[in-house]
Order: sequence, then C-alpha cells, then structure tokens
Amino acid sequence: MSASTPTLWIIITGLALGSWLLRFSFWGIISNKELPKWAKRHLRYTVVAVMPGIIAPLVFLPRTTNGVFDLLRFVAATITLAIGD
Amino acid sequence: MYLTSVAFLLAVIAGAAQFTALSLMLDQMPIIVVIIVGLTVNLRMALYSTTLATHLGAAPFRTRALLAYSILDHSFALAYTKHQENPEMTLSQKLSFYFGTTGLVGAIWIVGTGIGAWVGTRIPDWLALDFAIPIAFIALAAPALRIMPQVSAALTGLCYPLHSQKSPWSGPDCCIQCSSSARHRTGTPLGG
Repeated sequence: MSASTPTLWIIITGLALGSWLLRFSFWGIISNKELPKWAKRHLRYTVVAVMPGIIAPLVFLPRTTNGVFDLLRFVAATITLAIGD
Repeated sequence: MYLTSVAFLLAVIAGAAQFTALSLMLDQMPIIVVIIVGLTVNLRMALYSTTLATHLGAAPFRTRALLAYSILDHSFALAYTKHQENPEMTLSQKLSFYFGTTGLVGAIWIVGTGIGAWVGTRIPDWLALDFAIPIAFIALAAPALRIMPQVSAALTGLCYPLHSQKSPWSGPDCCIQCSSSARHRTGTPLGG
C-alpha cells in the first residue's frame, strides 16, 4: 500500500459518508409520497440498464487477462444468461 | 492489513467504488479525486434508492436510514424482482424480505473480504474467481428481462461501457441502434 494511513482513512470516511448519502437520497426524501406514473415507468428499467453496464466490461474485457477477450469466460456468461432467463 | 480491508468494506460497503478508489490511490491520485471518482461509480445507488422508495417509502425514517446503508446491487435486484412479481406484499413483508436478502449478502461479503485479505494472492489465478462477479450479476439481471423494451435497455447498457472504453467489440453504431430501438419501444404501452 503506497498511500499513507491518514490518507487512507480520509478516503474511507469520505467514501463512506458520500455512499450513504447517495443511497439514502431519494428514499429519504420521498417517503410516503407517491411518485408520478411516468417516473415509476422509467424506474422499471433500473435493474436491466445498470446491471449489463457492470457486466459488459467484466465479460468482454476481463482485467485478469489484461482486457483480452476470453472465450471461456464468454461461454460461462452465456450459459448463465440462458439458465437465468 | 486485513482489518483495514474489512473496515473499508464496513464503512463503504460498495465493491466497485472500493476497487476504483484503491486503484486511484495506488496511482497516487489526490484524495479529492479518489473520493469524487469513487462516488461517481456509486451514483447508481441514487437510482436504486429512488426505485426502492416506490415500494418501501412508507417505512419509518430510522428504518430507511438504516436500510439505506445496505443498498447493494444484489439485494436491490432481488427485492425489486420480488416486489414486481408480488405486488400484493405488505410493507412489513417487503421490509422483511429486503432485510433478509441484504443481511445475508452483507454477512457473506464481510466474511469473504476478511478471508480474501488474509489468504490474498495465494488464491491461484486458474480458479478465475474474478468471474464470480459478472456471473452473479447476470443471474440477478436475467430474470428481470421480460419484455422487449427491457431487453433493448439491457443491450444499450451493455454497449455503452464497451464503447466508452474504445473496445473493438462495439462501435458507436451498436449503441445508437440499441438506444434508438429502446427509445422507440419504451413509447409503446408496457405489458410487464
């Protein structure tokens, strides 16, 4: 670890507070209010839009192979998708 | 060393943000840059927060403040799918389900982080443990793909990061096609 200990703890604290605020944000504000229909309709796409964004680089450009496409990983991903769907 | 790892996890509890922050720290980036970029990776949590609010918004303030700490990709996806499939669930049932998923994922994650920091590089590469992450995410997202607009949204989500990394695997054409088809289709009434 090249970062010094105080630096590390400043970063941990900053990330911790910021992450909690992001997570609490709308859940904290909205509480009992009903969201408009169009907003709810858009939010139905949260899972299917965010998850592939996380998955894609991990499947197609794995860091452990220095970003080189790996057929075995691709096949494993395809099988999981086929079973899960 | 492994106590620091577990403390880092307990405080931040967000894998992708932690990985990003760590690699920026190793590159000797300024503190503020590390924090801002790390939080940018976590921006999706605000979206999760809004989505959960539509189902669990009526929970008391303290419950929300506590449960917000544990919004994870996994627990969010599981709870969201459950809520969509069972709209008749009461608030307390939804909260119990959410707490059950997030508690289990969180507990395994904390223990796993401790073991990982302790065992460290002695885990052989050929096990390809890194690939457990995308496999888990695919398993979470696949059941949510019900209707065409969701598939289009997923394809757009898939193309965008690849394109932005200037990979040979997708050109701008792919993204434009997917997003225009998503935009076109979301205009139609939804069945799911």
